[in-house]
Amino acid sequence: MRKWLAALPLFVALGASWVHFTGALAESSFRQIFLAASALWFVLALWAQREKKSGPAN
Amino acid sequence: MASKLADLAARMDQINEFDREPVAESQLQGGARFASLFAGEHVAATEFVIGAFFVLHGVSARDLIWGLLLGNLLAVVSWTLVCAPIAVRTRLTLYWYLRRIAGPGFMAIYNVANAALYCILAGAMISVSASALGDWIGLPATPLNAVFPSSAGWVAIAIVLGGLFTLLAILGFTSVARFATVAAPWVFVVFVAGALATLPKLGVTADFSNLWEVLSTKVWNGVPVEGQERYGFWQILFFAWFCNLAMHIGLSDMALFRYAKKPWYGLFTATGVYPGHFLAWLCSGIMVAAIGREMTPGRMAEEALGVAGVFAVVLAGWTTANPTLYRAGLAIQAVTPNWPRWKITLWVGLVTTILACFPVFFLKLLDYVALYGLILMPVGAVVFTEHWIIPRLGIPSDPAERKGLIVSWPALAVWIATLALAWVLPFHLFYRWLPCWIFAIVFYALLRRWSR
Repeated sequence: MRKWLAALPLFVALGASWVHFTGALAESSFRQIFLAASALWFVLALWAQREKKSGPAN
Repeated sequence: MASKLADLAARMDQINEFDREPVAESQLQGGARFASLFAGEHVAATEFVIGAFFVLHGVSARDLIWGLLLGNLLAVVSWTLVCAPIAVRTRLTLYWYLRRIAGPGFMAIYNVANAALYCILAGAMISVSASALGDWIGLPATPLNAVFPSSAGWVAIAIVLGGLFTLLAILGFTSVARFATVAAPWVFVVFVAGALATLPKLGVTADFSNLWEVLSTKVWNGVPVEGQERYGFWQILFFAWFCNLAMHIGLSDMALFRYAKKPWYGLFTATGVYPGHFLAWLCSGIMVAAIGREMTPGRMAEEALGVAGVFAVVLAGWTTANPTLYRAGLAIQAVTPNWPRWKITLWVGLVTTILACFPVFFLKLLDYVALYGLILMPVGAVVFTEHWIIPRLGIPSDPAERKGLIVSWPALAVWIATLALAWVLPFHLFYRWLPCWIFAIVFYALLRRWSR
């Protein structure tokens, strides 16, 4: 579950590039969304990694 | 000389002591583990440069796609049929297997050569990061034929980044490696999203109806930029095949495959090479076409994704230089007189940072990748021959171990002779490794037969 939650921003970043490609999202908005999603990915992925490390063995 | 080599060898054995024994049955890993292990393996900072260089070398779209599809297939086959079977049968790292065959002194020479090559590779990765930062702050682009740094600014950025990467490596390789596992999927997304966001700028319509036309006329149009040699199908096929030559034909991935239950797990390398050495290269090619085919990785990523793109190139350079610095340090640990880990890393980092100041290492990356594989390939050929051919000739295996040799002279002679042959062969650099590999196998078998 944690893994999937962490992966969500990556899907958002990819989705935003697709929407931008279709012309429905302006370049500046796409870049802002991509940047925010990237930052969120690192926060969530590092959090998931830390949780996994400190979590129960099984 | 011989006593010095013996001393070095004893220290190397100490360093590698923990994996001296063959992997036990209980430690073997399943296929899924290998699939995930390789998945993030081949998406590095260098992918921003390699894919872009194919565009600059004027390869056509058809040649590129077929060349990459087949070249990567040959690489996967090489892992599966050459590297994995030997690893699974011996359950040893290349280090310990080669030690039995060629002797500990030979290993010392091999390690130093490996360390030097790793330093150059890490230097190229830092250069890529430095170029991204340089583009971003407005430094002039480095000319494609540049050997020396084009400005003091470039040197300053390379030194700052090299110093920072080294410092972070000293503080903890493991933490950076852990961070790299988080960064790898994001860097892959950067390639795909960057290419997607760039396509409209090249004129691709939302229904993809003119995609092929745009790709074959505006991206891979068959026209090289001035001063660059034109590449065709065969150059691309061979490049994709040999760009990990040291790992498959050179057998250094025995360290991984000794844990495989079956030799066919080599096929799982496809989960890494096709995203990295196919998709990522295509994506960086699309991105460089949109900035007028200039070799400026930072600008090309910034043009596609804004500041996140610049950050991606710098970060990819850092996370991929880190393990390379580590491997270089490990390789020369034996030749440093009981230095602590931080001191080795500091010196390796210093050398790497100096190399990073010279843009030639990333601007000639394709040639360097070819040379890197070519230099280490004969060692793989020696091991291959010793494993498969020598027993069939009725000659006892593992000569160095049986005779207590420091250096197996047939192995060293084959290495030197193969490199000499590679130097004089009148072929394109990319094609030389294959005849040289065959030569190394035949020559080693003959020398072993003669010296039995």
